[in-house]
Amino acid sequence: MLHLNVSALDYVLIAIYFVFVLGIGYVARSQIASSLDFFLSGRRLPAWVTGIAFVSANLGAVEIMGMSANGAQIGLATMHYYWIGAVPAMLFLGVVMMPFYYGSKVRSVPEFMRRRFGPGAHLVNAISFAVAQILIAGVNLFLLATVIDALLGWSKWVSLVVAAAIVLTYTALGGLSAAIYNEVLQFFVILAALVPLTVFGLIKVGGWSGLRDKVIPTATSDGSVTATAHEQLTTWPGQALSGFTNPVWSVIGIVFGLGFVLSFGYWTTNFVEVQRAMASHSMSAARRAPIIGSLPKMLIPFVVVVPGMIAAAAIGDMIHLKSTGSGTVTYNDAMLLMIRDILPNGLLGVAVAGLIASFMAGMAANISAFNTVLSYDIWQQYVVKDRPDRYYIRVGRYATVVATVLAVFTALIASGYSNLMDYLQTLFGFFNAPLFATFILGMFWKGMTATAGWVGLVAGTLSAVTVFILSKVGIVNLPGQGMPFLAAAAAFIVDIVLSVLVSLVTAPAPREELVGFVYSETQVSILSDPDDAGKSWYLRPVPLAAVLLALVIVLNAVFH
Amino acid sequence: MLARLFDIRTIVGALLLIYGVVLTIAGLVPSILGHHDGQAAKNDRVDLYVGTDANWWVGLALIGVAVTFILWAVLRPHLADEVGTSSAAGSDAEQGDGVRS
Repeated sequence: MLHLNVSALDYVLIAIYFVFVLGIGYVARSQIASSLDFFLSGRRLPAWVTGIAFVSANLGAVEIMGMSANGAQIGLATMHYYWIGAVPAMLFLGVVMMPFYYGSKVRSVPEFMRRRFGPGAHLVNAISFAVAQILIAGVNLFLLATVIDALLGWSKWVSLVVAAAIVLTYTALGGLSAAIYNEVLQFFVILAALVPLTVFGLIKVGGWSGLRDKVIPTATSDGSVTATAHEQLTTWPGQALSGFTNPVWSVIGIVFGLGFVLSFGYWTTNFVEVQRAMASHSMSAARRAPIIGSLPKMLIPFVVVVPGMIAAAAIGDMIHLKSTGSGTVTYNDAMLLMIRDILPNGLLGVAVAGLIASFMAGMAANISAFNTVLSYDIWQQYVVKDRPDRYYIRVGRYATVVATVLAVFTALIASGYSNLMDYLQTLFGFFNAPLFATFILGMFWKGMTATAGWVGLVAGTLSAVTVFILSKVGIVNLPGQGMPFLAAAAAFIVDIVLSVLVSLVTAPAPREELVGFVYSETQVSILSDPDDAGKSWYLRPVPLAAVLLALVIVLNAVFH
Repeated sequence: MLARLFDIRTIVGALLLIYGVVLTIAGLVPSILGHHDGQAAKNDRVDLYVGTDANWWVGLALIGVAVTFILWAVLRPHLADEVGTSSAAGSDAEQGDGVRS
């Protein structure tokens, strides 16, 4: 059904892309002299590059297909993932948290954890992060194989192994620089496909008003409506998203659960993204990376969510699925159906290259974060210490090979799950929400102790798992995507409460060890930078963040 | 020389330029493309297919974007906000040839 009519020209465009991808890996290799070059690009990239990579590392195909699926199913409420979720969290990271990450010169987020709370919390964080990266890389790989099979008819195993081999080649050769450069390249290629797709799609359905008229209610197979047409055309109160029947609780669930806990947890502590910002050449650039990235982040849903909505309003198979709850396609196919029905040969090649690119870039982002944590945080810290720097570059390259092989096996496990977004968010909820609680408390309260660090993390993660199990056995019932919001909120609250209680009965670290890691002990200026003087507003983190915050508030207001 | 070409602006510009030129040709000479088969889309409520002319519309736009990137890289080899980092990057790259294993 999804099979594309691919011509020789499309394959030429895809092949050109692969040449660029591998070429970047090859050239990036010549820039690696130290382990810092391999794992953090030598901290010399400009802010706009790390900013785009920051967004692009997350703009994998899982995101593109998952969010267009949400667009098809629940409509504009999906915008909350961007405008309430990601953007405020990215601005917060740049303004409040990056001074600690970059200023303390740590090489990874788990390393910050170790220097602030010691080995207990560090091990919990480093190991859970490493495992999560392998899982997510495997999901990416599995999806890539499935999509290539559906679109081009290649055997799943062939595309899985070829894609893994390409990612392995350029990340093992060029390290983080190769990953970041490919992310920037992927960003522009996927936009070169998505922007025309959205523009043409909107023109064909009669513009925004034509789309509004054609949106139909989402029904399940038993005939009950999960999202009315009106709900799909408004963002608040977002009951179709949260699953709460009470609109007030729905708003609270979205703002606190999705926004404050889940997204802040994800965007401010996830080393995959933070690593990109850490590769910037100065404190000001590191802070501006997520702030610059928030601009594309707030606009991306227009070319991801809106095509999903167009698919659900215009494409026969999707309309059938939406009105009966069953059919030959799934919501995750929304973007693929759009590519099939709108684009001529030529643009089709760009779109397929962009999709393959976003799968590979997503996987490379996970792998490059994994090899850094494994080499610096686990191997150098606990297994083989005090070897020459060159030794750890080699460890990083071996770690890349191992990660890729494990990801290929994980791809098999991923096949058991149908709803990708729920699956990934389940993971985020388990790992990230308690992390954010521990970090924010640890950064601003010097009394928080090492024991509190790991106890809070473990208890927070366990409470997220508990909520997940309760919802699986039916004790807590949220029909929409609200379960991860609830799990994240539970993890956050349990983590904060236990961290405070444990800190009161254990002894804190000596003050001199907290310099650079706790606000009150650090010469850190959150509201300005030393090298800000005399620069234009868009080169200064705080004014830039203020402008972008105003912009996202305007977007929230316009599309309420 | 390699370091100069290994500027992400040059790389993005080069790829988009190639894509732009290929798409423009494909739009102006649609006979090199396969025949469009609308069978799968026949149940659609709206005919979405945009036609092969879209190739050259997008192709020209991509050439425009590509030229912007290349001009940016040529006119501003070092960005305004990276003070003193470009020379450090150059020396690192030179050392890299000797040290890598």
